[in-house]
Amino acid sequence: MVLLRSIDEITVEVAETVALKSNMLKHALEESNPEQFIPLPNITGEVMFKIVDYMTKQTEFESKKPQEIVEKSPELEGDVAKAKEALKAWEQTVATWEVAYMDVSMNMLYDLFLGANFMDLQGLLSLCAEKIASLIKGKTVKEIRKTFNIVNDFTPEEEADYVKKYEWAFTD
Amino acid sequence: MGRDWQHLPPELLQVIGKRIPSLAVYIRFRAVCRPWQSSCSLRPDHLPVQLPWLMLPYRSDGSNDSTRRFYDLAASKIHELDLPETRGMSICGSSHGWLFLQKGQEMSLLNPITRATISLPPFPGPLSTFGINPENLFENRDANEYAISISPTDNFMVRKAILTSSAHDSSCRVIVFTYSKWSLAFCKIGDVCWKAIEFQSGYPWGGDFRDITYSNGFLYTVSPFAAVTMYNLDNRSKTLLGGGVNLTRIHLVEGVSGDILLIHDKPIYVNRFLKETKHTVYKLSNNGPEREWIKVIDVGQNVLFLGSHHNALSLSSANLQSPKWGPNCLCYDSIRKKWNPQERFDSWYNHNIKLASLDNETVTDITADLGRFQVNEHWQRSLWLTPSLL
Repeated sequence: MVLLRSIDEITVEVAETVALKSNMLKHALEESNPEQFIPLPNITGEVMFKIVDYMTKQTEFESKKPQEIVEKSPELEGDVAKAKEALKAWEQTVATWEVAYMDVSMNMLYDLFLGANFMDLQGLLSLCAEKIASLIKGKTVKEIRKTFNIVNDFTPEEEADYVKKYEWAFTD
Repeated sequence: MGRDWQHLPPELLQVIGKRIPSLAVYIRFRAVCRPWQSSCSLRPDHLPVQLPWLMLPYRSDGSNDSTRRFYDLAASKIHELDLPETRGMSICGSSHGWLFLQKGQEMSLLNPITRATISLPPFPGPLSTFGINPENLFENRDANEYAISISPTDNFMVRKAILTSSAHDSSCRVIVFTYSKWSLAFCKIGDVCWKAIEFQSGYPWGGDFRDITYSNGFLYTVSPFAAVTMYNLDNRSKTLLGGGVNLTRIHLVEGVSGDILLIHDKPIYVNRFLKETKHTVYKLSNNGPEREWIKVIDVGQNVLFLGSHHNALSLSSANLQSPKWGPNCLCYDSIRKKWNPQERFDSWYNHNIKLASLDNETVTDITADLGRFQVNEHWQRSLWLTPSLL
């Protein structure tokens, strides 16, 4: 078991197999004394639990992933089709869970994104990036700034120049 | 406490940028604030090939107007772009997001999105080819780079231009198919002259090739009876492959997995009135040395786009993220002509964009009528363009 400690001194225990999903933890475990906890200086307890949730569920999903059958002989054709079905169903289950998992507030999305980067969890990083991109698509620039609480730091001339150059992309 | 999305680390902003497949959304993403703009390149290499725009026909002579109109299939609307670089120029082709412009001997490339231009050597060059037998000049390995001469009666208008890769790749070559006796030539960007590939002495209008395309390092040409010749521009070799379909209205296009496809279009006249066009697709078989054209009704992941005069391209439906676009369909600029006994040489055509499904042959209108135009030297014809920042 591995002990993790958040910036607000909350600790959580995770199985080693789960912890290894994070490349950062993988390297930390290779170096440190297994008795001690691994500090996560950038991550609060709430975010830590959410990330551990991701790692635990991913490990569980991996262990349940159906085997693909690659045999091409005609007798096994039925089995090949069944295996394909099973794999598709599994992928659907994972996708559904991920959508529900990513239904979070903007603040949590931000913390998860940075947390996934800090812990080198590529799967979670992708999920967050995908979610952020989906919040950008279909919005005008003003709407994007509102969603992400961003201040327009361009000078009026800079902004006008850029918009004029690519005018077609800005018309609604 | 709110989070500082504005000042996310640049590498994380890039991770987000890479998840944006639409050109328009990517451009807006860079307009949000300074840190977002500076972290994400104006020449991103992650954007997939975009759904094309159709450049609409316009009257090209006697006008100072440089507003060009493009129908954007993704946004379902017409964009107006001011392109003064195109004034007085013929736009002969479109490849990898660049328009090929020609005025007499002057040739250049223009990217209408970025307004970048690249100049190309004048066609043909100032020197003549003394001492080289024009019949086998492509395979003449002793021939150094030479320029091509013309006679005053030669018509060197470009029929089609292809870029072998993105224009900013150092290995990019520009291949032109012209009405000249020097019917095929190529150059690398930055070269001082064109290199001839084929010389057609038999016909005044530039030989009996019908169309060309490029795939996986080889240039392919097709002649009536659809005989295919394959050229290797590096080692200057050419191979005649099979052929055998007796068709003339043919357009070559490279499929998304490198297949060579041939689209045959057949205009349908009803009471002498051009009403519709029917398309058949053939694929060049890959098996054995005797390649042949096989009629196909399933082009797999390909969504084909067909314009006029050799303008054709293909995209993968997997990248288009919308069930509307294929797979296995052909989107074309459909022209119609009302019969008018008064008109003889200056007929007016109308057009709109249609989508034909190749398996069940249904045809749907993608747009309403896009306006009328003529087909003569005063008018610039329509062309498909894949908008790109590269």
